[in-house]
Amino acid sequence: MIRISHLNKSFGEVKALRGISFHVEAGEIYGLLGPNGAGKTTTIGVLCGLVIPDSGEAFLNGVDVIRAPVEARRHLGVVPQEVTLYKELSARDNLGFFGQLYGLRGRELKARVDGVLTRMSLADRSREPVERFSGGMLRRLNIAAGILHRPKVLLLDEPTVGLDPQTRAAILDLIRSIAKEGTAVVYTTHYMDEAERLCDRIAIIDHGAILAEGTLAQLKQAAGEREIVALRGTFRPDAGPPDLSSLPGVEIIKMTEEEILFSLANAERQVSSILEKIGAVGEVREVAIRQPSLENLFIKLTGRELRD
Amino acid sequence: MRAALLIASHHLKRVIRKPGLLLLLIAVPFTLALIEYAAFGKTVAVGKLPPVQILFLDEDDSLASRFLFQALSADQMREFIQARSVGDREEAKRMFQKNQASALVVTPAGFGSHLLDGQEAEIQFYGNPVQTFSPQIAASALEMLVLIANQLYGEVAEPLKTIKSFTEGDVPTSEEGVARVAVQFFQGFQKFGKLGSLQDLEVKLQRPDRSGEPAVSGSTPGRFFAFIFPGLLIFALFFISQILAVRLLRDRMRGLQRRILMTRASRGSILFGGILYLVAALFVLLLVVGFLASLVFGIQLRDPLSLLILTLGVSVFIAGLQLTIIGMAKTDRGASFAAGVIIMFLALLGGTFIPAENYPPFFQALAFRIPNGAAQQGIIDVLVHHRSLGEIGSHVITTWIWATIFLWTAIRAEGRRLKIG
Ligand SMILES: Nc1ncnc2c1ncn2[C@@H]1O[C@H](COP(=O)(O)OP(=O)(O)OP(=O)(O)O)[C@@H](O)[C@H]1O
Ligand SMILES: [Mg+2]
Repeated sequence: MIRISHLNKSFGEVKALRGISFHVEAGEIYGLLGPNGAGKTTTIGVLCGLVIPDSGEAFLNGVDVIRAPVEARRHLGVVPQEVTLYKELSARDNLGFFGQLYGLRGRELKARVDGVLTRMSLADRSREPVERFSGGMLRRLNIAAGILHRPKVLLLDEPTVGLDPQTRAAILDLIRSIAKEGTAVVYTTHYMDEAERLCDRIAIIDHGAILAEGTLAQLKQAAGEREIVALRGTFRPDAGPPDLSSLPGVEIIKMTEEEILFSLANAERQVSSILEKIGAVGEVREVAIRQPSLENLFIKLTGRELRD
Repeated sequence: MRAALLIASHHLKRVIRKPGLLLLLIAVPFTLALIEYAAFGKTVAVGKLPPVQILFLDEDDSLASRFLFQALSADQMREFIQARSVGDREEAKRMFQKNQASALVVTPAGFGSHLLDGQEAEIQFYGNPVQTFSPQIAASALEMLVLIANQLYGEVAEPLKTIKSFTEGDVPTSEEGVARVAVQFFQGFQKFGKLGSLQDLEVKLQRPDRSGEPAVSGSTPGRFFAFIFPGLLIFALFFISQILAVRLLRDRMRGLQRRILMTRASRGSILFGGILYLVAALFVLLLVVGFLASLVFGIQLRDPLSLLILTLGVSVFIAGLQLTIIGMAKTDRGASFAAGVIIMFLALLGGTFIPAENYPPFFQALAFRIPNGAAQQGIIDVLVHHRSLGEIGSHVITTWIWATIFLWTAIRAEGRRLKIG
């Protein structure tokens, strides 16, 4: 249903996308997991036909997005990252407008609007101007506007930012049920747990490139038996990395003045020898060991934590 | 095409839901017309509208309430309104029943002190139930007064507080204090509108010959207003269009335009939806306000076809101009500034306040070559000079040439904006 290959896009000096490729089948939920500025929104933009890539191809339902954007968007639903609604109109009027733009009308439109308002628990406030809505209500309505016409392809760009845990769980359930009906879903997020709970396949993306891709199990396996040891304290990265030649299998992923990250197996047995070595190049105040997980893989691949 | 219509009607709906300043701006041409009439209508108008009889009951008896009564019975107002004070509501009721008055205005106790405190101050208005039309005229005159007074009040709240401290004796009245109040008032009025100050300037500099030359040819108030109102209406339309266009610009900055592009709508339908919306909004406003004015001022609407062609032309021109500006502007402030300068320029050159047929030859020729000037003169020719569509052909053509040019530039500018890299 969705296929993109070798997308490249630069904004002036900034390389937003470097050779992104992936495909998503009908009924599948594909997660794009990456920190701020990774290129998630740009990828979504290419899929909607709003961003023209410098090179590469994108197809929705077999239609070339770049050559025939309007045709490609026929079966597309998008939930953009920012809330894009008309403040002076009611929830009902907002949805009515978007529904009509997707070709819905009359009784069918009304039924769809009613349905999605109920699903989003907005039915009782559906007639007042949305400028009176809370942030979470606006987010929900923003999602409603993207799914109301039951698209075959659904792109969601960080749709749950700022929602409380219950609402977030309800939305993830909703997306799962939409996918079950055969919709191909791309879901971008920087919440690790969302990607773990929701997505059939996950791509870890940073600096415009996909660093790893697979099911949750595959990714965890790629993280291997290796764990992450994080030391916090005061260090001197300019003095060069510490000599770890006597500790085979220990790698430094990242070193700053406040933090050093190591990737290794059997962390507990090796921590004391690491501390000995590091004592020579700085002062350690805190030691943390992380079990193998998506997060570890992410840190290992990107050298940074997601919420950096 | 369907999507373009959808988008246009969607924007119209939004304006209706939240008219904002629009209503105030619609009052502006009426107010300016009345001011101009007060300034030199008498010298050219022979027939007069019978003034509306208003009763005034002052239950407050404060400085402010007395001032309001003075304002209502001022010389300039006597043309339209004759105010007399009554002692109590019973007396007003008796006069209502004898059909001797159209409306009763009451300033309730506390009106003045509320005003000085910066709280909401209330004026009560009662129409005479026996009459139909006159109470409405009185009500809308009063409403206009209140709308404008509210705006002014926002500007002069500071000096009002100073006055209060004088009257309560907290602060001894000094020459310096009084001077400061005067300066604050002056600045307040100045800020209130380039509209106002510009208008004053025009009235002083261009007061027409007292002999009442045939060019003005107003033998009735209706003809006077037919002469003066078209320019003012186009002027108000410029400002209204600016507000509407800046709203579109903000849509674009908030990503709403991109959001529409994520649906099935094409770039073309967004572009034409925007144009259609602005043209339709302006055209309908022109027709409605023009029609309203014809009722209020007793203007006889002759030759509707010519009027429609001219007003549609102006609407297209103004919509095109504004869309071009927001298509090229980077920020909404930039757009407002550019539009403000262009509007002032066009208004002065086009003969907005004094119709250009009274201009010296060079400026007159210039006025007839710019779109608002040509359309305004075309309308005046139809309404006042009873000319036919053929006779005003040059004005129609001028208006539409400009309309076409700016429609084209708008399509270019907005089209470029919609192309996303
Ligand atoms: N229109 C643009 N002009 C210039 N630079 C841009 C533009 N859009 C994106 N970029 C740059 O491209 C890079 C990727 O941005 P993108 O919005 O795709 O990131 P993201 O993964 O969605 O991040 P976030 O989680 O913060 O939403 C960033 O460095 C960004 O500054
Ligand atoms: Mg983003």
